[in-house]
Amino acid sequence: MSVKMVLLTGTLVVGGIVADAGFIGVRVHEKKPDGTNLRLYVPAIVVPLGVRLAPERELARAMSRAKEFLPAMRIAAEELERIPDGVLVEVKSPREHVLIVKSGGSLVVDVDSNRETVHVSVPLKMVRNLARDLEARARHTMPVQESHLRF
Amino acid sequence: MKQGRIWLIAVVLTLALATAGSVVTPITRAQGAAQPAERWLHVSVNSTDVNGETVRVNVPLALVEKVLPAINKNKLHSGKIRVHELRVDEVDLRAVFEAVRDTKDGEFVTVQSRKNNVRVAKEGGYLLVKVREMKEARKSDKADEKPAAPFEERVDVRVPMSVVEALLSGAKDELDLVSAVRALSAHGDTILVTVEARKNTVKVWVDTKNTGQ
Repeated sequence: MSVKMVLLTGTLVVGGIVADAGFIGVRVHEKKPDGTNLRLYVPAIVVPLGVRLAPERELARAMSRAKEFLPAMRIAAEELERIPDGVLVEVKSPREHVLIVKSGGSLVVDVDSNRETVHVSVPLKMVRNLARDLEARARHTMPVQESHLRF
Repeated sequence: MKQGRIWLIAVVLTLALATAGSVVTPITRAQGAAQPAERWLHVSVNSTDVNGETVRVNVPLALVEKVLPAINKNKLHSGKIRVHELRVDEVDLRAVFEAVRDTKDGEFVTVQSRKNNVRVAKEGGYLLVKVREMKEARKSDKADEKPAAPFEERVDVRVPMSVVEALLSGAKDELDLVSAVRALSAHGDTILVTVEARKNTVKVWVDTKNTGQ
């Protein structure tokens, strides 16, 4: 009984944590015969884990380019989390319809054009935490990494 | 029976723990919610052209105010823009704003011609720019369509002087964009720009709604 209980409790706790972090959703549908039809739902919790497991050298190289945008990204995510759900940007033309909305704690981008439909949904909490982690990491490791890269 | 009850308690407790984080935060936020209404910057572009675009942008000014200082790239640093990098057609924008701030209400520029009327003035706490341009009748591309009638294009810009003053609140060689956004937010609901062209209309305004309707 106790093993079952531990398993069930563990599953529920992990499920709760995963659900709380949200999911990254990507859907791409090309409007042509044999076009790409992709549906991807990834628990947002795996992104910070993936960053932690990424090779230091590759991460340092990517961060040297992205570090100047990290504070803006974190602050934007914090502010977007705070505001009510709604449309942030909408562009409509005969060729395409682009919609960027804040919905239920996520930033959602929808593009519907003559050639394809694309849907991307990213939990803002994940963006905020990821930007914060990368900022902290850049502060502590970048000087070493940059000098390492230079040589 | 006893085993079933333990299972039930375990499930309920786990679910309660798992969801506590997402439930408690909104409650705490709601309790401290007595804050002044948030202002939003809206941009609306409408086109009647067959291939034209409709654009809607709704951005909270607080977001702009907080994100701007975090961008340190090219001309922008800590929410301020250096003036020597902000010369438009050799016009020193800071000098123009300073001149406007230090002058009493009245008209600064009036251009009147057969086709154009331009007026720049300071009036009732606003910097006003008004442009009227007469567009001639235009033949249609399609043979069966009537030619477009003459049309007066209208551009109206209305900037609160408090925003102009906030722009100038920094050092001599810079414009303080963050202070200007803060002043705009504090100013209240206002229409900043309207453009009425033959096939397009543009409106930029600030209010407390997040929908841009």
